[in-house]
Amino acid sequence: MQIETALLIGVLFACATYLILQNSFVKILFGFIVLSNAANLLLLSMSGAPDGREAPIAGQGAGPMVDPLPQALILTAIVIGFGVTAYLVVLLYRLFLDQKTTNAAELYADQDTSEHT
Amino acid sequence: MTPAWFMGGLILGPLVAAALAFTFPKRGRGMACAAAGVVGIAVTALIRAVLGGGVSSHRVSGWGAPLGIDLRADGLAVLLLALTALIAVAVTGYAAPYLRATDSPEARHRERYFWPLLLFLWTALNALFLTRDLFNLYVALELLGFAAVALVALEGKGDALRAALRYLFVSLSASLFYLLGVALVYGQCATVDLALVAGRAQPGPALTVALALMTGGLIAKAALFPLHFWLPPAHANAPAPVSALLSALVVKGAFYLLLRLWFEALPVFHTPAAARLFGMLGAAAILWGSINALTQSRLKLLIAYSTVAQLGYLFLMFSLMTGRDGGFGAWCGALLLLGARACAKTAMFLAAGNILRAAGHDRINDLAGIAQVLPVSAFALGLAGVSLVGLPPSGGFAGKWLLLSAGLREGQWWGGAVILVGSLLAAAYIMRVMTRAFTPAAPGTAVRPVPPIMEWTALALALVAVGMGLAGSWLAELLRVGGPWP
Repeated sequence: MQIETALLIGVLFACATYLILQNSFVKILFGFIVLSNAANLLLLSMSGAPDGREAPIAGQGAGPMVDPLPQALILTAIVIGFGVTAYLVVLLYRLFLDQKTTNAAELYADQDTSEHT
Repeated sequence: MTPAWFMGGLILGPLVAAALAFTFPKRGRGMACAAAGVVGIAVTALIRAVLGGGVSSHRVSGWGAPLGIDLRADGLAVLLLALTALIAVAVTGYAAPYLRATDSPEARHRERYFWPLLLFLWTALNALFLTRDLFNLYVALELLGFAAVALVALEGKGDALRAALRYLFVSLSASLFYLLGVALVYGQCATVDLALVAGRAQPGPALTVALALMTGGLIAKAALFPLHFWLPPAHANAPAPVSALLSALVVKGAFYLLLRLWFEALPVFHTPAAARLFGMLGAAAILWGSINALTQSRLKLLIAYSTVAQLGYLFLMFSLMTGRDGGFGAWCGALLLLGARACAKTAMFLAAGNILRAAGHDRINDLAGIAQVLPVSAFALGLAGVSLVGLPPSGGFAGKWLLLSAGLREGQWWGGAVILVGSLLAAAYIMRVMTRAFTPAAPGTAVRPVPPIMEWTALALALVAVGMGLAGSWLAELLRVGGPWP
């Protein structure tokens, strides 16, 4: 399980990085969603190998349990990630209404030169 | 009333006020004033508690670390809480007339969202300064980033939105890097409490990667050279009270977290090589920021680049924390500098806002005559400049003096040289503005009136920045509480 999780995290990170480096807003947005999921998966994997351990439910099971703290942490991280996504969608939509473009390169084309003058 | 109540009030007071200000838009200013009252009482009481009885701590709902969240107030946290309260109150006083200037739908829209966002920002900062739990710090950091980005986007169009998007991307990536670091620290130490991490940390590849990830993310948030690129457009395009808050407090929040990480949670990694790297980046930030400030044509961009330079001084401290006194001199110097800079930067951005309102632009070359129509703002700008340059008896002077003497005592003369060159460059860009501002104007220049409270708020903060040098020994006494010094 550990190896598969590690590989999955790596693949997700690679995809996210590729998507974030694109120019289209929608791809960047998807990149951030994938990135936050990769981070959540890494947090989850910190509870160690789940083989032969039980779900951490109070009052049930007698054997060794999976560490519950990372699960509590990713619950918070998922909520924050959801907020981030909503926020990003609204901001990108406002930018599209204001600038009439969904391309990051076009959006910042003039700014990079005018900033220093 | 125990310190736990005051710590709770510091976080819950602005949070409840923010929710109410969002629900009842017409009461936004009243809510900010109520929150200021609660926070003012709580901070004063907490300072007294910390000075009298040492570090105060509280286990949230009775669950202590490693499972629960601990709130702890030591000298450093209390000092930053007080600084935040001072600046937030000043910005509240300034923003009320600033937002009411015109009665257009846009102005009403801005005012509707400004107050809740200001209060959320305040909540996030207070939570950041009080928690000692790496994951909870992540939550506070995200809340801080969100509130800050939304405040930058308050104008709702053009450059402000573009700067806000760039800021949001940087802020999000930085937080995710930080979160990855937290996950790795948890995997190694099985706890996210700073004090417990310090006890369990063994230097190794996993923790090195974790610290590198967290530090990288926080450096981007604190806008240390070379990751400062998002700061000038974001700070220059935001409304004046927002620029003041961002420059004085938000970047300092990330810096505070770096201090906690490097000196409290994982001091084993504070090796001479790491210290030198921070010192180099700080020195580069001072020079790069100052030179860019010197070449700007707009006043707000000049102040924003000067923020980049000033952050460099804070990071120079990392390389000076190796002395025989445990680096207490450098530590006090950097934090005194942080306080004086925060007040001076707020005063400058507020004064720039006044100039922008009166003249309709902030082009430095066309500022002639501004000192005649806005004498108080021009005076505030000058006084804040005195503190930035570091003339005695300002807080900037005391801070730089402590850093400089620590650098010379440790034989790190290059740090001292950079501080002196940075001061000279600061003097140059401040004088560039001042000479323009004090040139008599051609007769018949039309200006819009500025409410007196907006001018006097700027001056009050500039006076605090200058006067902070006189309170240095009291601040040092406060900083000793809870620190690793005898």
